Amino acid sequence: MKPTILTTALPAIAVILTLSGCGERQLSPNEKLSQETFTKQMLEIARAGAPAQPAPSPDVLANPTAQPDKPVSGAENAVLADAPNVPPPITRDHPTKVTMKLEVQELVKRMADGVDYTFWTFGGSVPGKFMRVRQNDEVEFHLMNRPDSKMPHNIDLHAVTGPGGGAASSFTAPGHESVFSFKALNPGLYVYHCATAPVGMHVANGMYGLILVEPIGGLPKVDREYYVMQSEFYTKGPYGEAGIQPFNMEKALTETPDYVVFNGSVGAIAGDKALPAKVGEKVRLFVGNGGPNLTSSFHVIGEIFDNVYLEGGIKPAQHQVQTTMIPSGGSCIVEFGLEVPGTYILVDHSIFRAFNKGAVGMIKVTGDENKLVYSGKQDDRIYQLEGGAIQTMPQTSTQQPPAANKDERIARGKVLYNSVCFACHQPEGQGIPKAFPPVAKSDYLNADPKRAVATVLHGLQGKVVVNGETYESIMPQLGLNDEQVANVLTYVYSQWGNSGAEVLPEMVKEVRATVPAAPAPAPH
Amino acid sequence: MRLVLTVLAVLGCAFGVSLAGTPDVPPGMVLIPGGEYKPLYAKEAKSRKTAPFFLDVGQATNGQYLEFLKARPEWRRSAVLRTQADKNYLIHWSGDLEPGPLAPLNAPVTHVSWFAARAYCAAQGKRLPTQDEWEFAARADATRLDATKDEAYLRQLLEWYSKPASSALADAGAGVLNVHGVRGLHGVVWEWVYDFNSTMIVGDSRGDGSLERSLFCGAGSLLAADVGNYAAYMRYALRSSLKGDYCVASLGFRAARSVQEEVVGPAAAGFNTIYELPGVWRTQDDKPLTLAQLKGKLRVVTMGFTSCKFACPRIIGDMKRIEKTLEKDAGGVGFVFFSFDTAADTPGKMKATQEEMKLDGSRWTFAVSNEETVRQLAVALDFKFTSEGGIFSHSNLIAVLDADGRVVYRGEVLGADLAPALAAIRNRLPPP
Repeated sequence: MKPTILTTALPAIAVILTLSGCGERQLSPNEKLSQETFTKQMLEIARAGAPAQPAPSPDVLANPTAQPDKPVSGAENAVLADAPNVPPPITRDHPTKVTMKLEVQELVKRMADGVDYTFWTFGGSVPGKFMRVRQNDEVEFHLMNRPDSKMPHNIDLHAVTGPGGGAASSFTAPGHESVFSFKALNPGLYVYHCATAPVGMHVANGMYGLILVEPIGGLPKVDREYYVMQSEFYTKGPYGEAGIQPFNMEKALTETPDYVVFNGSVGAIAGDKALPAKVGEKVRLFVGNGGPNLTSSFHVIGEIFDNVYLEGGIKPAQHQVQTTMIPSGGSCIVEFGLEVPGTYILVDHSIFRAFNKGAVGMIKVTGDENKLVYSGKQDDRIYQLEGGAIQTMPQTSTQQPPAANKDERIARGKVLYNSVCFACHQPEGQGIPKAFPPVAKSDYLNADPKRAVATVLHGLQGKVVVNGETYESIMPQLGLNDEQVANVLTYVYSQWGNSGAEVLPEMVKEVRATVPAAPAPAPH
Repeated sequence: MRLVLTVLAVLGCAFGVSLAGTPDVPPGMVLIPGGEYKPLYAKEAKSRKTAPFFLDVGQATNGQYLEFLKARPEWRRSAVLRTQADKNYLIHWSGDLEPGPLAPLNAPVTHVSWFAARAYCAAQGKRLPTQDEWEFAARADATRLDATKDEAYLRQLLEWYSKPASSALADAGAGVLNVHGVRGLHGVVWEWVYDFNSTMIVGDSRGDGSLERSLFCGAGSLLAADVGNYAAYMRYALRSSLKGDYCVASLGFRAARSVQEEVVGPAAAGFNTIYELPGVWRTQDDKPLTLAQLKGKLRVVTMGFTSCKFACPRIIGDMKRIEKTLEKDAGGVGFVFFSFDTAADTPGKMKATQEEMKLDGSRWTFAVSNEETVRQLAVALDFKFTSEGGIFSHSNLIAVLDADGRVVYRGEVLGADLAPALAAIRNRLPPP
């Protein structure tokens, strides 16, 4: 297997390097090391999905209660975690009795900078606490509704087998506590949420989270696990409107959210709150979608998921996935190895949600560069279309009587300069060093107005020396008429220490007739 | 006032209605004219009629409640019975007769149970408004009798409902005055209604749109009339989460009074067990029955109505199965069917049902009373019911009461496992 990967991978990389023009370069010792690590990682990826324990047969997965297990023994209190953290993996080899306590709290918190929202929460933040139990655990669930709550609440755990997922049994008035029990029969990653009328509003205000039921034998070991939950918010004011924003029912009904976010607020896992990781590590994300309405096209920019546990099921159903769909009220587990340092952006690839509504998160990966896997920018050069470098810029023809005098010519030339020329030659004619030559105090212009006319008429490509500096750039053909060329050059000559010469349309006409365009240089 | 009314009555006018036909409005109250309205949950989305009634302008305040407590020591925090108010009763007060800084005298009293609120109202010669009355009055905004079709108004309500109740309450007089002249029906506190336990939603709102027939008797067509009225959903959901002894931080009350009659039911005296609840019932043998007479025997009880064609016969069937399973032990157990149907369930009708279902009259009791006595028992047992044109929707529950009337078991029936109920009974049967 190893030789195959080497023979297919390495020539491909060599070709890329040659094309990029750096083929001669020697690999640094660091990069050689990276290359070896890379090969090793590729082998691991090829084996990806093989769990630590022998995989249960499909029959058993279809009927988890038939899977042999040790008897229930002992008792413990559940460890809960706030996003983006996840409680530690369960190391028990047997199911136990778990006491799980979750407090409902209604509170005002930040939605974005300067924007607050009244969140209804499981445990004080959005998304709710991450719960982790083992298959066949017997869970005694306590739902506590704080006395300062205005609303009754309940919980529907998708991990519960039974009517309503616990909703009716956990219906709790403010200042009360409900207790119910369930056995975690099915392994998987499940959404939980409040289901009190009006259910959409309870979900829209932040009442959801994830519960992981680990399979017998646990999940394969990874280096890091994180908890990410997407959801959307419907506010009275548009995205970014400052102040406390109440829930907007009409927007919720028409499914047009103002905010689509990861972990309950804009920037909750971005910037200095980005999820940290290191090169060489394998990362697992437990991703949920609280909705209430939108399906997520979950994507990590610059990464490919080695394993995707589709829809929160318990076996890796697909490898090498770019974007995975997570339904509202659904989940997904994704795993990927980290080969290259840098910032990886988590998005909902329904991309307007990312750029305009806040659906952006980040993983910041530190460690050694791996130029083989990703080189970074190696060159920046001019790109030309085949068959000639100079392009004609379309200009709409403007019918205007000729300028009556020099002042008028200068005035019209100024308007034209500011629309056509200034982007490259700059507002004060100073140009841009090493890219675009100056037209202020320009020896090139002042020495020969006819040459200047020809340049504007035909464009210019190739070396040109202006005020002692060499420029090698392209000036496009601008498609100006004689009057316009005369006006703009007269304006330029009148400014910034130039000669003050007036260029007349007649001269332009003559140049157009007598001076041909310079031949396009042969392509490389 | 009473003298005036008496004089008017002597003059041959309708009680409480002046010569001109306009009722005298008691001080601090306003007259809410009767009318039709569509409740959120109604059979076939039919309108309901509300008779004219008087409603307090504002909620009962801490100051007013303090006066009540001075006269009624049994309702003070240190004395109140746990059956009537949970541990949160007046928890924000500094002492029995000291409201203190968290309970300003002019702010609505909260952390009061349904039983306490009823006792307070009864002491004023008033009562709690019914859900229909409250909802009817609360449709109004400052200018319109019914603003519930106005999305902007509903949005405003939602905004208040969504906010947590952590901050101190405003004065009862600070709420918005609606077109009836009632203040702060929305935006101050939630308010108890008399028949709060008539809300049939199950807590799992996704099932509420089309309740399974097996969940609630006769509820097959109980649909929300306006699925867009989230504010109303939130009120009904809150009511549905309550029990009679619950005391909640954001829940107060205001009193109402009928125009046509002034009969106020038995003042809810203190009760330690179900059998201490006041009120007189009539049995299938047309004999008067107080709950105290049921003492001394373990009893399996339910509530229903004998015209029920669906759930109630099955509930009785489940109770018969219990009776049969107990075999000779059943002689030590009584079975009671309390009817909600104060109009149709006459002694004769109940007797007919008993015979029709071949129930042993020496063990089985059928009983009916007035609506208030029935409601009080239902709240105490945490049974829900509501009626719509003679058809009742109700919880499908049985309870096992010990010889003193304490609830020792309460659970769903209709196909549910009867073993826990049987275990509860057997554990308390005297040794043979």
